Amino acid sequence: MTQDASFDIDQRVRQTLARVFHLSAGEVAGDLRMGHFPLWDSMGHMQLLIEIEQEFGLTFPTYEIAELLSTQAIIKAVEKYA
Amino acid sequence: MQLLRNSISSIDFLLLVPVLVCIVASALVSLLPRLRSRYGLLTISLLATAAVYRRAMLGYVLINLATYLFVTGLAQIPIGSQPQKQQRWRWSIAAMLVLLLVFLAGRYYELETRPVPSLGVTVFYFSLNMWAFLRLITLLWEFGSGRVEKPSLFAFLTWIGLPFTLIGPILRYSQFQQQLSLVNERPKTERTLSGQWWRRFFFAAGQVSVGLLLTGFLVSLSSSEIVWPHWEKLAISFSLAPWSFYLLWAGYFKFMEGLAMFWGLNLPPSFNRPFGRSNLSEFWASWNMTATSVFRDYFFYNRWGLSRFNLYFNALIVFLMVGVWHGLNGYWVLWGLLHGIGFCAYLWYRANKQRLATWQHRVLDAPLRFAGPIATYLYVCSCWFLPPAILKLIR
Repeated sequence: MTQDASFDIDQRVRQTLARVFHLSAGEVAGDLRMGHFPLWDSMGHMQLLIEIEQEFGLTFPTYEIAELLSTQAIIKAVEKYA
Repeated sequence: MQLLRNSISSIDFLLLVPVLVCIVASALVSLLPRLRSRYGLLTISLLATAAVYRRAMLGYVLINLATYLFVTGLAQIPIGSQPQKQQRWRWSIAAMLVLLLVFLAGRYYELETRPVPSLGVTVFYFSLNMWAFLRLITLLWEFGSGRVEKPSLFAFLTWIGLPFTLIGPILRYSQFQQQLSLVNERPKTERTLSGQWWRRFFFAAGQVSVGLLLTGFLVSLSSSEIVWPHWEKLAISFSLAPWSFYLLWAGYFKFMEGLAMFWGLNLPPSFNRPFGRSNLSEFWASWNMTATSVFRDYFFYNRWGLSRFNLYFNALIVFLMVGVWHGLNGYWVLWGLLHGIGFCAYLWYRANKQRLATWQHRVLDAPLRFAGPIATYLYVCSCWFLPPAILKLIR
C-alpha cells in the first residue's frame, strides 16, 4: 500500500472517529484506545465500526471486532480488508 | 451465635473448598522450590481439580479432553491462506455450537447431578459447569480466529486445572499463555507479600465476611417465624440480598487474584464497584467483568450472519444467553430478557438524547445524574426479585 493511500485511510478513520464521538480534529490525533472518551465504550465501539465499515465499504470478520480497540488497530485492519 | 451459625452454614461448599485448595496451592509453590516447574504446577493443578471436582473430575477431564482433541484435529488445517483461515473459523463455530448444545442439554437433563456407578464407585461422566463452558468457548474462539496456536497438552491441562479459576474468574488461554513463561520466574514470596497485597487480602476478607454475615442474617430472617409485611420484606430483599451476593463473590474473586500472584499469575479484575453506576451499561461493564467481557466480545460484537449489525438484536441475544448461562429455566430466561429490554431502552435513550434541545439537556441532566444510579440499582434488583405472581407463572 502506498504512503498516500495509508495516509488517506488514517485521515478518514480519524474523521469517522470525530464524527461518531463528536470530537474536534485535534482531539482525534495520536493513538487512541477504547475508553479514551466516555462515548467510546462497548456501544460506541460498535457504532464506530459500523461507520467505519460504511465509510470504507468493507466488512470486518466477527472475530476481529473485539481486537480493534485502538485507532492503530483499526487503521491496520482497514488497510488489510479494504 | 445463631447468626454466626447461619453465616457459616450458608457458606456455599462450592466456595469454601476452592478457597482452601488455592491457599494450599499457593503455599506449596511458595514454600517448596522444587514445585516451581512446569510439572510441579501441572501436578498441583490436577490435584486441585480433583479436590474441587471430586467425583465429577472424570466428567470434567473428559469434556476438556474432547475439546482438546478437536482443537488438535483442527490444527491439521494449515492457515496459510484466507480460505483456510475461514475454514478453521467455521469449524470452530461449529464446535462452539456443539459445546453450547451439550451445555444446555446438561442443564436441561441435570446431567451433572446424575452419577453412574462404575466398578463400585459412583462417578459423574458429565461435568460442564458455567465456568468450564465459558472457558472452553474462549479457547475455541481464540484458536479458531488464529489468536492462539494449539496449546501443548501440558499447557492445556495446567490452564484447565488452574486452581484459581476453577469456578471463576475466566482467564482466557491467550491471557494465560502470555504469562506462562513468566510463571517459571515467579516472584519470591516476600515480594508478593507487599503492602498492596495485604491491603487487597484484608479488603477481600472484609468483603467475604460482610457478605457472609448478611447472608446469615437473611437466612435467619427467612427461617424465623416472624411474618414480615410485604413492603418490609421487599426493602430487606432490595437492600441486603444484592449486597450479600455481591460482597461474597467480589471477595472470593479478589482472594483468587491475590493467591494467583504466588504463582506469578495476574488474574484480570472481576468487579469494579457495580452498585451506584448510573446506567445499566456501566453496571454490566463493572459486574463479573471476566465473564461479561466474553459475552461482549463474542456475542455483542457479532454480526450473526447479517449484513449489518443490529445493536438492539445483539443486546437481547447477549442477555438471553447470559440468563441461560446461569440456568435453563423460566426464571433465568425472563431475567435475561428483562436485562436485555432494559439495555435496549438505554441504547435507545443514548442514540436519541442528541436530538434533545440544549435546554432539555439542562433540565434532565441534574435529575438524571441523581436518579440514574438509584433507578439502575432498583432495576437490577427488580430483575432478581421477581414478584411471586410472575414466579408462579414461569414455573
